[in-house]
Amino acid sequence: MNFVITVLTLTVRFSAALLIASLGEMFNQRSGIFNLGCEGIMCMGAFMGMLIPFSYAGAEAVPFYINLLGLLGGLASGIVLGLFFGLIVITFRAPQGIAGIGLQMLGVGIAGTLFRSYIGGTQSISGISSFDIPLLSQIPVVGKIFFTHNPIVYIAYLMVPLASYIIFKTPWGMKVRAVGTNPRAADSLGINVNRIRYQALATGGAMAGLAGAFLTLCQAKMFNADIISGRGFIAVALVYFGHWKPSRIMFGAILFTFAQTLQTQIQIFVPSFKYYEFLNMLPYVLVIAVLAISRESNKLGPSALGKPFNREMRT
Amino acid sequence: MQNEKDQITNLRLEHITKRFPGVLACDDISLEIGKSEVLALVGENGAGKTTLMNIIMGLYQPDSGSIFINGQEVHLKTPNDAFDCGIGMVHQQYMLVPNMTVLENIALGMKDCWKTAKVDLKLVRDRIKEVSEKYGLAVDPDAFIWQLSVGEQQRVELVKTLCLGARFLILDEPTSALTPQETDELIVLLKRMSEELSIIFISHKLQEVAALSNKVAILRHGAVVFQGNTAEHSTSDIAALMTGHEVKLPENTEPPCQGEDALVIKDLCVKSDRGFMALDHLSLSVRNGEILGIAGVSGNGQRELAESITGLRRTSGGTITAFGDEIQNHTPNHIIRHGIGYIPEERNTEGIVPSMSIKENIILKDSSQSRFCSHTFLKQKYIAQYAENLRQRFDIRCPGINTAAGSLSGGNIQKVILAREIDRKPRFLVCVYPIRGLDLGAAEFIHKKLLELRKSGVGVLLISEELDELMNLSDRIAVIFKGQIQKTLDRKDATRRSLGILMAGVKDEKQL
Repeated sequence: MNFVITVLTLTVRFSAALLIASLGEMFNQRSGIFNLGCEGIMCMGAFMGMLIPFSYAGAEAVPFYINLLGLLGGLASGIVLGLFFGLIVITFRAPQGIAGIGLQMLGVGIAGTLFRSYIGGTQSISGISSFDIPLLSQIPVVGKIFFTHNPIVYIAYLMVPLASYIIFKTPWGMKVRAVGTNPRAADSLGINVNRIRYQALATGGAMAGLAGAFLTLCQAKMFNADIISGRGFIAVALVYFGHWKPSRIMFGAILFTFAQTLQTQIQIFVPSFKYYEFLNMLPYVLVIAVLAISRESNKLGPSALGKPFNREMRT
Repeated sequence: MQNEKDQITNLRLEHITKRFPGVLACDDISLEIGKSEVLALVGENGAGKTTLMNIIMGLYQPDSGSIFINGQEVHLKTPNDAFDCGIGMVHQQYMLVPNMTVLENIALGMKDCWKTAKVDLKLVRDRIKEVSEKYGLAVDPDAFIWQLSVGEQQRVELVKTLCLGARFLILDEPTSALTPQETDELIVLLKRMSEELSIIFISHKLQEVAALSNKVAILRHGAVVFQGNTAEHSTSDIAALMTGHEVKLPENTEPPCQGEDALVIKDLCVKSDRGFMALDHLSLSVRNGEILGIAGVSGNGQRELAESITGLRRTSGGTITAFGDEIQNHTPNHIIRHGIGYIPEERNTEGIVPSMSIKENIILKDSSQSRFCSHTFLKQKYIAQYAENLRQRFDIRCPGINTAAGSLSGGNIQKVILAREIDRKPRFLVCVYPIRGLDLGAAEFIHKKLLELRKSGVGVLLISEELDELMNLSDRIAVIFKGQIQKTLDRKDATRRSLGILMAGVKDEKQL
């Protein structure tokens, strides 16, 4: 029983980063841009989340607003990288898949270099701690699973209905969906396709950066260059899995994190099992398997995904 | 900018010129449209009609020239400027977002419903209702675009344009995807609307021009070659001016043919992509040297019929027999080798590989035959000669046989496909919407070739929505409705009326 509760509690806690990043990627893809560089943006965000509190007080405890500044720093670096990606794929119309791989390497590379020159080696920070919500956390089983987390975890889950509302109810969301599905139609109605795509990339970048900063500040409380370990790529896959719908993306994020947590807990509980690489691999295989069997219904997705827009190009 | 309520009493274009790399799309065009006038803009593909309209909509910027509304010069830099002036356009390819509802599609253009946190859909709904009632255009605001037929989508486009406050309508080939009935309805509707609005419409179909417009302008190679009142000119005059020579679409005047059965289909059942029965126990037969026309509103199983004959779609029952052998569910390659040629519906995606050259597209079906290939190497010299020969015989207008096929105009792409299919000497040809979207000159050429093929003893299955095409070419016309053949008429019994009634699903005229 304890094992089950531990796995579920950690699932809720650890799914937050993945959830924020994949909701961000949903905005990218809804606007027609496929950002494989999510991993790189997250890495840069994670580094900012380390840099700001560390340069204030090293490993010592810092005031909450400094940690908050760390999160904002991650978010801001994400916006910058998102807009930079936009410059490449929107303005210069570079192929998105290739540019995305480049962005991933760029983000990881810059973060790694800066980390070594400013911080040196592995250092820990105090970070933002989890706390128990009074009363609610006292409920047996459920209380532990749901109400003993970091404030950012709750914010991540609140982002699901919020993202859903933004994408389906607001004028901006409507425009994002239109430019991702039929940019010519949006253009003919006087909507600036490229501007909306830049905005969506900035939004997605901000969320990926925030997710990265969350990883260092709230989850690992340290930074190293492979802290993201494929979460950015999983985020891209989850958007497909979730058919570009926030609620289904949340389900995917929980499913993946559950598999991930389960396998790490098995490693802890059964230390005699030799082939831990095999266990490490399993959650990723799960994602591939689920993507392979879930039939794509393209009718409701962004059908212009991956295609640069050029008004004077005749089709 | 004009006031919302102002009528556009006069729109004048002066000396509009627009160049694209290598093409002069609009060459010093001047036009004028007055109050409640309907101007028909006609011309062959690539004559510059759509470019000119996109300039009026602010989508393209002219290199030189000016636009005047009610005598005042306007600068239309973006579509928003054109909307503000009260100009609205229904594009040939509908500008709708398929995964959004009708309501949302219209809201996309209505800036006054964009509240900070929410789209005010009620406002849009009210506006749609107002416009629908005023013009008798019924649309379901909550339907998704992908659920609607082409005709319904066009109605949404019209409602959208009107909801956005258009007082001047531009319609780019509004009937090119419509069924004959829908076309008739549209013409009635536009006539009614023209009492309050001015309209420019682009068309290839001269009957529509005659029925609807009161002025006509003809464009050729980007320049206006003729302007006048429609009533004073016959359609054949206009056709001649449009193409630069007399046009007479060829007709099949030979007696009904008595050849042997080439293709026999019995009780064919085929599922559509969406899983329902697209063909439901369909039977028909075509003789050697006969053109059998298939008339019907698109979506009644035509695509599935063509694809199951050519091996591109699995059948779930019944037989297809060609020259005595059953061919259903064989591979496309087997069926090609059996002598069945195919001119597909989507010429750009199914008929050619756009990025490959004309000569490569021409040998695509035989690239591994000894004729074009020895010891796994292509015989480049021979292929070039062969392709050059076809280019001349089929009058493919292109810079050269090494040009990418996808860069050609629709008519020339169709000629490449026709050259490939006919010169392979098929024993039978399946031909789907062969002149859809093509201009008169190209249509004339393709019809001639089909008749020559018939004369040489090849059976042809001709699927089309154009009744004139079917009545000109076919020996017999079968009407398809909901996956079954309603009735097969001899050419002499087929009229627009009798076909139209059968296409609407009525088997017996007396039921009406």
